[in-house]
Amino acid sequence: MRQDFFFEGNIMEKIAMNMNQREQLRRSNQPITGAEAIVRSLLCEGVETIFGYPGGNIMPTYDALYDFRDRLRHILVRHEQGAVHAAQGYARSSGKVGVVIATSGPGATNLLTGIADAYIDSTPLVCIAGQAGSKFLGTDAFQEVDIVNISLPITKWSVQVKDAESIPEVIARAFLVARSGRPGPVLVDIPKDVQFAKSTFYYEALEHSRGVKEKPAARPEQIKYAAKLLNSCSKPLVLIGQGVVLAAAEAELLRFIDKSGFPVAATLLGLSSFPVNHPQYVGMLGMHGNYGPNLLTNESDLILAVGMRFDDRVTGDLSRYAKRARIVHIDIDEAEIGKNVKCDAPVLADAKEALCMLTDLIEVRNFKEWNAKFKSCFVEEKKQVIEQQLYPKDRITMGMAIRVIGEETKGEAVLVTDVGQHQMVASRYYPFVKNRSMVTSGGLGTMGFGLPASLGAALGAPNRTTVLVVGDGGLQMKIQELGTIANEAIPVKIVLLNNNFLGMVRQWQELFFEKRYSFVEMENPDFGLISQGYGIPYTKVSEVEELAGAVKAMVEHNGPYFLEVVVEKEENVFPMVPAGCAVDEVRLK
Amino acid sequence: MKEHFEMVIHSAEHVSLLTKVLMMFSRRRVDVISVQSQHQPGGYQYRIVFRAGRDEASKILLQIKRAVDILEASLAHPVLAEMPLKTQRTSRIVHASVA
Repeated sequence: MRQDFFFEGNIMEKIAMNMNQREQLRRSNQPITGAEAIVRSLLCEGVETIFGYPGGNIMPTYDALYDFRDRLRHILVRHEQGAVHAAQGYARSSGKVGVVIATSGPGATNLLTGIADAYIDSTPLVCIAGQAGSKFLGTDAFQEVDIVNISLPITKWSVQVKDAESIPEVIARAFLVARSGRPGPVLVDIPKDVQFAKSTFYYEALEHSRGVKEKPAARPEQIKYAAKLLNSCSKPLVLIGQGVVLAAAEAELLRFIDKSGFPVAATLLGLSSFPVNHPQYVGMLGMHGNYGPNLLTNESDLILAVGMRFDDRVTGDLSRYAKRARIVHIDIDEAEIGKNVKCDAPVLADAKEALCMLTDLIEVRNFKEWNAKFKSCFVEEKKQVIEQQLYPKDRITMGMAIRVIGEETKGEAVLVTDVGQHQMVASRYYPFVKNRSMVTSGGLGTMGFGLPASLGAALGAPNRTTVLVVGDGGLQMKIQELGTIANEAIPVKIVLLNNNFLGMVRQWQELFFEKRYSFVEMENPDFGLISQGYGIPYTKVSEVEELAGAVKAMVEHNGPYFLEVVVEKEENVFPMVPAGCAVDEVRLK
Repeated sequence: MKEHFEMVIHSAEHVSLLTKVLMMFSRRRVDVISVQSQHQPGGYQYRIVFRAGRDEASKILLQIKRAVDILEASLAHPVLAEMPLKTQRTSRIVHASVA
């Protein structure tokens, strides 16, 4: 009892101390530099980890970071693009805002691919870029580039700070914009003289700001009409996207699906928001999605889209997409509703709130025959595609590698992928059972995303295993981030599926360009030597019987690990909806 | 069928936001005919006359409305915009006389 009391007292003291520290941080009546104001603002916002790379015009801020290095972990990446992808991985696995810091000129322009990726995939980021001194702006000075205007179409908000006094206000607004409504990246450009200038400091986190769109409240009449359509359909299909993850609506979705009896399919970014072992889960949508959900979309009489945007990879030929179905679309972004597919019942709302309200109004039903159709499609796909991909006899396939990784991690790892064939295979065969488990580049399809994103994802979910699945092309686009992983001892399990080809392009050249392999074969380096150079343990396997043991050793290793798996050289990924075709023209071979 | 529309936008910010808005038109390859921007209490007003299909015009409107610092935006079929360009007062040309 006494011990308990003592323990409790310690906690109270700690809380009081933290509150004191926080209060001290957020206020300074003595003028402090703009650079210190930047770092303090981040700490006040609760930031613990940032990803960056120093340079001339951000040096004052790096100098201030030195004083706070015990409170703010800075991950020194090897290229600014790596910093953004790492911050994306961090944001996606943790649900927090990712923070990036870079210098002006090339430092800032190197951020752009990652910012565009985050914009299209709705990932909340705050990117802070140094800038040449105010008097040099517009003069083509050394490392001076108009990054605010360059980044306008790929950021939610892009802003230059004019004076040191406004730093806390601008940074607080940057965090609000990044995480509010449909999340996205924000760029804050800070000239060097503003970082040096002194001002008093007061930080107040923002919940609202004029001009920043807030979450729309669900309108009961929209919900009622949507429920009426849902209760009168006979062949429904629920399509879930990343909106479910962003709204943390996984539990509400599960309740809705259990009550409604509707079959459910996921987009690439919607994966892991619903357990794949649920009897009503019918697979992944899209160009390389599963057979059933693609084929039966055009037979469905009602589609309920939740937080997805009818991307062209999902719809195929729009003029022949879901023509028999009435469309109910739940989205937080009004511009997405009706953008690509005509909507019969719009629900402008956050997925969590909308699903909650709909579940109350939906009738308990059972679509036995309709669900059975999906099952028979799956049996067909299993016979023609899955068996050969997951259980090959004489050589390792990508599917087999993913199956073994799934078995070893029990579907509980954070799976990060790069872009290409391995991405599609991993998406379809990894047995996701936990939310926030899929980190991949969806809309932009950025090769080189995987390795840096995996180190960020591992830092964002420190209690989980993070596995990167990557191809030989994508790995070499950002291979220098092995240095970051090694230096920081980030326990990423890197699985290279090496076919010595740019596999997806090769597949398209084979199928649609008469097998004219134009610059897709790779002469690769010795990845073992590279891994050894960085001090990361490495194993290479090429035989079926070696794979399970090697994956087990990798997962059990405490720290980063590099496993190279030599896979079938010219394996094609099926099912496939060829470009320009309707979704029901999905091919199994 | 393409028609003339006028979009009236109230914003909290000026130059870079106007640039951002105009980029949305150019990305969709929509012809902007004229642009007017003026200060008003609490922010700025942009008036943009452009030519597009109805569906496209309403999609651009939704895209613009969601941008940070756009306070309000609406779309109208301006009678003015149907008139020949030279008689419109939607763009202002300043003639400087050189003495």
